[in-house]
Amino acid sequence: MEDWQTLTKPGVGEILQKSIHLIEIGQYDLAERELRTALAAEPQMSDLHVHLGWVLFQKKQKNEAEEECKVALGLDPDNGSAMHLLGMLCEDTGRHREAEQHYLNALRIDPEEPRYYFAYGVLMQKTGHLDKAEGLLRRCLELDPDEGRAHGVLAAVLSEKQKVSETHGSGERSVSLDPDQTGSHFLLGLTYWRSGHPFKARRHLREALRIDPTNSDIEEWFRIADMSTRWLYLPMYFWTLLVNRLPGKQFAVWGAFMVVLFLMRGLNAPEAAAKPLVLGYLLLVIYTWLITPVAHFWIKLRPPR
Amino acid sequence: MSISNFQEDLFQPSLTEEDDATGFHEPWSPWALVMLSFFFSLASGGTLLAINFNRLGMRRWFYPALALVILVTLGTCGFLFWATTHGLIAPKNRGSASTFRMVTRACHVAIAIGMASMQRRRFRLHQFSGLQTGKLWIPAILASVGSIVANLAVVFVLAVMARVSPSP
Repeated sequence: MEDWQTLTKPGVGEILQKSIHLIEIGQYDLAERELRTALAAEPQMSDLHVHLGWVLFQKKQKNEAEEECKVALGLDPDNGSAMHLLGMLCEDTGRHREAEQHYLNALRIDPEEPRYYFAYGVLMQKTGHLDKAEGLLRRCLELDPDEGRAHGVLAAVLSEKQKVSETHGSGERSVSLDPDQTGSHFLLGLTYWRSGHPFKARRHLREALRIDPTNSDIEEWFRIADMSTRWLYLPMYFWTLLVNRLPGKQFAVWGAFMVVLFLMRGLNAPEAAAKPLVLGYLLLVIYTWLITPVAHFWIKLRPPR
Repeated sequence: MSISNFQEDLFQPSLTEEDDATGFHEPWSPWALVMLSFFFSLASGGTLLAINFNRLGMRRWFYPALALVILVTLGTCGFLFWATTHGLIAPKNRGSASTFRMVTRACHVAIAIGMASMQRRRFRLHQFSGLQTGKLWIPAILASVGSIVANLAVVFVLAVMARVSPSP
């Protein structure tokens, strides 16, 4: 958003400033009206089209937003913000390859802009290219160490890569930078939950739910974290964490059990030695099958506070 | 990899057609289908895994996966027939029957896990895109009932064969 300072028509700069403020406080209808007024006076100004595109994107008018981006790029082919927004629009509609191209174009124009690294990093995380996502988010944080969202997403990436020690640092930094952001607490809660800290996960997810009580995803995850802290379910939680790291998950345990049984049979081991093993496995299976409905029932009796 | 190479890699496109969040039609969780293969053989879970390739937009894998499921199911029946007629599995010998059951189950689950691993990335992308997952109850029940009927038919044929053939 650089060329608004070179406006020729008086008053347009003020309108643009006002519309930026309106966007920041979420008054998109008013911002759209202001921007259209400014565009009537300065139709050749590329950044005004980008701002209008952003407002339309927030209002879920994606086709119109895309059109505004194209107009902006027609006026200024090197407008990185327009490419960035176009990338976000493509990403939002699932066209990830196109989105990647737009982000790369934006980065080629301005390789020092942290927003572009962040957006591209989020896309890489979403598509499962975790190494690249980590590299992009770290680069974003080199350029802007106080970008709380990048810390949060980096924590999620590191958690998925099972780099537990680094995960919590990034997540806590995200929360300290944006303590009132739902996303920071939500992502930190998820990373704690994934790395074996259900009580801390529950605390952060509760905080996220306090900030945004209408978000059903957060509510769902809070319920999961709450269930994981119930003492009856706690062994199941740690068992699931352990088993999910094995190739083949619970079938790896079943396979190992069968191999041991066959070996014992082949070695003519006494039946007394096999009995505790079989009984232990049977109890484990019964516990893992029954515990989820039992925990749900318990939660109904004693709902989370 | 040096730092400069890594920086250059950041500016190289990485995404392919399979990374686009398009072509999804309410896919099922691949891992739930592995569970189905464990309890009701590959004929049920494997068939649904093959259909799930279509639902995940990985259409080119549908026919190879379906062919694999059919081949393995027929192969298992064929092996059971051969092993029974050659006396390797005696219907009254619980030990040999149990071993056969465990070995075939392990093979079926291994194949199902292989198919589910191929679907893991697309399903993850589907989940991250916040799209609707398909309801599995009715297809799972239908596939399981079909599988049970097929297994009972095989057992019936084997029982008839055991009665017809002279005992050793």
